[in-house]
Amino acid sequence: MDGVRVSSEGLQALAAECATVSAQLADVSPSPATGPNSQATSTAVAGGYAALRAVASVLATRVQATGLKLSTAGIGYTASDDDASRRLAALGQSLEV
Amino acid sequence: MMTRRGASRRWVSRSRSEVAGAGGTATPSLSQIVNWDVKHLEQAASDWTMTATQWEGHFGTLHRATMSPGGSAWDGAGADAAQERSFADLVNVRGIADTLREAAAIARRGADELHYLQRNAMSAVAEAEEAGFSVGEDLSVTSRQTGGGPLAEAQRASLAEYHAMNIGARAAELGTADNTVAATISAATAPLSGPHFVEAAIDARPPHNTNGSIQAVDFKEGPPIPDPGLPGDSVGNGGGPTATDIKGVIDKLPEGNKPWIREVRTPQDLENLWKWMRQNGMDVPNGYGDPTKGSVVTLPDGTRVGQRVAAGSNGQPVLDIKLPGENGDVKVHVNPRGGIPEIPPAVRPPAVEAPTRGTAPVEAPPVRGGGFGGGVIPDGTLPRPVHLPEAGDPDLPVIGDGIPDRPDG
Repeated sequence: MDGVRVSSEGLQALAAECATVSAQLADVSPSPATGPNSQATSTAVAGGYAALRAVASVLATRVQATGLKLSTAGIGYTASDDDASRRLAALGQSLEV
Repeated sequence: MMTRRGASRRWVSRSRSEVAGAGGTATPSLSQIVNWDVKHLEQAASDWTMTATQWEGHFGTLHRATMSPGGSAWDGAGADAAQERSFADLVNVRGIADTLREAAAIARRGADELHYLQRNAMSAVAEAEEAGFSVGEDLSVTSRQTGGGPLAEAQRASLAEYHAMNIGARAAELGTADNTVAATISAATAPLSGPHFVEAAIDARPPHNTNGSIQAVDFKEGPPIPDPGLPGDSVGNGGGPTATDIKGVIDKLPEGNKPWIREVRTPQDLENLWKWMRQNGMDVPNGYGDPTKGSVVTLPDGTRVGQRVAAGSNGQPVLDIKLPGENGDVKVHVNPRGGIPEIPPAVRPPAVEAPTRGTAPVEAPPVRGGGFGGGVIPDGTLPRPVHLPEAGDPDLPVIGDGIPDRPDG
């Protein structure tokens, strides 16, 4: 494996940014202006807004999932590093005997 | 065709009565014409454009942030996978944003057209009223005058018939245009329905191997995503043109009948221009709302290029080009007086040191995260640089030739 450089704090910061963006995506759903019922464009525009809201929800979910993966990754990197550190320390103690 | 109703002085457009009788709304009533509204279209155009820009901004920001999370360095297979994911998401969102902008443009043009047609219909009503006639809710026309003998009555009847026909025709035009705009908006926004990212389950376990060694965190839910451009390089690396390149070529073509129309000499010139422009493009499914009308691609920098089979104005093939940051489309028509597009020779950019990648391909189920557009996207359907066959550069990337397009393959 090639070298790995990572900052758990950096990943957590990015995960937090994802959470913020996800909330913004979910929140940005402008209220449509309703046209007269007798005009076909009113229905079409309403349908467009409905599709937009559905896509916004999908995008928000996607970014939220990315954030969770990043957060999990950050925790995992830290746990791995701590674990490796403990193992190395244990190895050092065993050599003292 | 006109119908004389009830009292001998009342006339109504037959088309109005027939449509109304069928229960349709193709021809609006007088009060509907008077109260005709296009604000919902104008607001939709504004909202949809703003939303498209916001979505692109969010995903662009996240992609850049993924290159350097929290300002820190991030290298390794997990970093590569995360960066590919964020870039694929950005490309997908650009496609969605383009769809939204196209729908917004249709709504804006529709508002203008319907507003114009409403004024037309109102003018016809006003003209009839100024001539001494009353216009009813059903657009019937009745003379307010009586007497004067058979000759005067016949003249009034003739005039009434003219006004009723005029009003009916303009009202029908308004109703028909409204239906057409509605259908076009629905078709334009249809690709927005049903898109889904397929998200693999999140594994909350620490990324350890059983022996306790560090394991690269895996963001992949499928094989590596073909990279349509280097991360951070918004224009891709397939040798295709950018918006600036395209503008440079288009601006040199002679202007047509309108400032936004450029002309090339022959259909072959048009075809050559299309093939050159679309090289780095990603297909926009049903970009014209009807696959038989033509095809549309979106370039990595947001440029949208479409090839229509027939222009509405002259029935000839036409190219529609929407450059980022520019208002409206530029259209390229075929006209013998037109010019020859000065397409620059293809030049492959210098080899770029690609980011370090994982040592081994990741084995994964045949499901890809980051897909968009109706569910799971089969492998190999994400954008790749498309090579212009006649470009004559054997070094350019070619789909399916088995030759790595980048130093790391």
